[in-house]
Amino acid sequence: MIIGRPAAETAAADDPSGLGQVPEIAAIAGLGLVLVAVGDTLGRSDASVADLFFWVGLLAVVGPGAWRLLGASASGRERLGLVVLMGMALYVVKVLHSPIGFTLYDELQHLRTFDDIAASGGLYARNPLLLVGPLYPGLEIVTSVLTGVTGSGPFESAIVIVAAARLLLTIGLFLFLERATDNARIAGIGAFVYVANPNNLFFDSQFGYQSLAIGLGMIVFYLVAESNGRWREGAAGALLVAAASIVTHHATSYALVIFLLAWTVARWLLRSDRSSGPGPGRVAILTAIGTAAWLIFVASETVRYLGPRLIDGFAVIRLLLGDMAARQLFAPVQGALAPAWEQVVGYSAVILLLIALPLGLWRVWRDHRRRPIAVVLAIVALSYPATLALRLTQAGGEEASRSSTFVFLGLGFVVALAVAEPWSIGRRWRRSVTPVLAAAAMVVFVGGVIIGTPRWSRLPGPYLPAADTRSIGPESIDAALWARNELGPGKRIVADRVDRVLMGSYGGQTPVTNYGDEVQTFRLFFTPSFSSADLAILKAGEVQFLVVDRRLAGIKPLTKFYFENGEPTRIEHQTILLTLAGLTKFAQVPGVSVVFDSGNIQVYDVRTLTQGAPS
Amino acid sequence: MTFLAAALWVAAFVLLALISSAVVTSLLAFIGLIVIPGAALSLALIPVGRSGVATRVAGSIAFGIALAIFAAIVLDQTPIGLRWTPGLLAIVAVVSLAILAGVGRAAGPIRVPPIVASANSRQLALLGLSVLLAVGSFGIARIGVSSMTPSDVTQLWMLPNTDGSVELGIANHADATQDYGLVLNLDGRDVQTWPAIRLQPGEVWKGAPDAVPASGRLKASLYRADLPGPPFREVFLSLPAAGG
Repeated sequence: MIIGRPAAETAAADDPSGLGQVPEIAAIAGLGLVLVAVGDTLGRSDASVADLFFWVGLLAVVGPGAWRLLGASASGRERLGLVVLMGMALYVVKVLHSPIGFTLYDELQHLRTFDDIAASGGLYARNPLLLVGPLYPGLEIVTSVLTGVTGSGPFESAIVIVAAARLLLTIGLFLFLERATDNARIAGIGAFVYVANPNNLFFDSQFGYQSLAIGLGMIVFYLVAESNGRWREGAAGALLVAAASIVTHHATSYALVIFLLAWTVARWLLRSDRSSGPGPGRVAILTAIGTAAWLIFVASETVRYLGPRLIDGFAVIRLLLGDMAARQLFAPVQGALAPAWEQVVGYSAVILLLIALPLGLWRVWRDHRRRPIAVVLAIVALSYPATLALRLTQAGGEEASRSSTFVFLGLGFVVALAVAEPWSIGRRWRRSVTPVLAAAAMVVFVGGVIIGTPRWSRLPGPYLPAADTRSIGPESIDAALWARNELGPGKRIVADRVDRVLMGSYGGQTPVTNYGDEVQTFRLFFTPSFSSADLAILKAGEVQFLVVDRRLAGIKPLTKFYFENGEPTRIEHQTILLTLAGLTKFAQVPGVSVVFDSGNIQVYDVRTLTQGAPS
Repeated sequence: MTFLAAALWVAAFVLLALISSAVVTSLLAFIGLIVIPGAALSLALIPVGRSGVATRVAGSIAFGIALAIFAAIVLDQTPIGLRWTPGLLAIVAVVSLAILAGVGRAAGPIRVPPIVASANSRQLALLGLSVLLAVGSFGIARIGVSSMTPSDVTQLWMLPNTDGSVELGIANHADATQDYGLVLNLDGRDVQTWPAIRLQPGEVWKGAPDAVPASGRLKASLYRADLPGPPFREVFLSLPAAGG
């Protein structure tokens, strides 16, 4: 059933382009982007009004489009245009946050893989910042193609590539949902809910392998649905793109395989009509074989990388059994509590989605239970409450956040069903439905941003210690560039989380970590005086240099840890803070030199301790 | 209105080129090296006539990206490796263009996408305005970064070399010219001074002590002329130090 078809047909007669109100809404979104850019600029000087510009700008970017998508009069082409517009404009919001270089933590990890490919001319070089990264080199390969011909740096190429990935995501998402329901309105609303997922604004828009892979994955879904598995009708293309996704990102390829296999099983169980084509089975099986082969023969490191994360997922069971305390949501950050309105909107967004979920599931049961895609999407949506429970655990919070990229595909579809099809309400009430839904849509979108991105990292701003993007400043970058030029690349160093990723990317150094080397180098800085245990760690890691950032002393890290996951954070309910004595104790150790000083950052040469006296 | 629409689109493109020509060249390279080969492949993999513009665009990008990735994986296994020389990439683009033209000719005349063909000038002007605003916001954001609080970073370093010599360095990353003084001290005794070192923004000074002792603590203290008092930066070497 296509809602509002007569109105759409009337509009089509007046507007042969089918763009409808896309141009007007695009102009408003453009103004919204200007406001966001002004907000970012004000944020850099810590102006309190920056937040206002940011939020008003964001609402201008998505509000009119959401209103139009929720209404009944737009044509299918206009809805596609609105979804693409919204997706691309929100990507620009991320670019405005970091307009001259990479400033997100994961981006710097991928920059290291790119640099290794560009420098060596080969794939799969070990990346100490992200061991699995080089085993999924799709993103960096495409980047190296562009930089190879333009001669420019990877940042500009990355902007274009991630924008293209975003285009794939929005087009694929809309067309797939439209194909799944034969209803452009449901597809448009479902796509809007998807772009409201907490990862969308920054995490899935960064220079990261997932950003490209989800765009490719969405095209696979669409081509499989459109061709119904017939090779010549698009299934061969789907297989090609699925293969590219396999070598681009682990989790996305696994999600792709699981979804395609579930779709195949659902199709078999529901005894769907086979006359229109063989369905997703062949693409699913070949994609599963390809994924397994890549994992076994190329990327076996992925098991060690993802294994602990899967185990973290079981934390929700311990939470339910009462074995562990729940994590405090909207916890105070360095003494400052999130504003009340943010907490209200954050919780309201979740509540609205939880209200819509059963309504949409009922719609699936009532109208779409013979459609295999709809059933699988509904099952995916059912996992949403579980991810919320996971968010309450200390260990699983990050996993819950990462999963929303995939869960919201099903959730968007189900929520769209809940709101797009008419309920039996009086005509008087029906007239006010769209404004109410539009307001709810804004709450869901704003709540997603609040939940997905910590307040201190939404806008750029002055330096904050141990705060990922906010800690990446000129002094740390200059120190990393100095290390590359004066020490030479490849030195084994120990540094805090932010200086480590900068030293490993801009600096080309080799950080020694518990994650990469199974040496608990983070222990070096938590005791006030040098001990034999410190010496043993330095020797075990064959450490050559220590990078010490004195700004870390006495502050609680906004990123939960100073160095890496697993470091001691609390003893007897007392938060452990780094001290200046602990950070600088190596200056008193015989044989150690301080070879670099830029005010806050010092570099200690400990080679005489780990390599013996020089000859 | 048609003139206005054209002017807005041209203005958006020119403004983007002024803000970041590298983004424009990357965009053109992406079209030439990814989208065009992908479009050629899409003519073979997606039935012509049944798909809309959006499907064709998405297919071209996705297939082009896939082609690039698999070409790289294959090249990596050859002695050539991943050396993306402009010449090699230009050949890929030209061959793809030729395939695209050939297949496209077999499939029928190339048509302007219906959205562009049927959009009126008011719509095109509004779309051009939105692109111009988006590019403008990019410009504002970049200006915002460059107008941040001026950087005030000065680096001092002292590194041992494998031949036993020592290298001293000062880098002025501040936004203003700085006057420095450098004192070299061995176990509490001044052994050499550089009383006046003036560095422009971004300038680096490098020097070496006249003599390097065999043992002891060699300390370099940097003073800034406008900041009297204790040393501004300090580094030291515990000699003998591990060089290289």
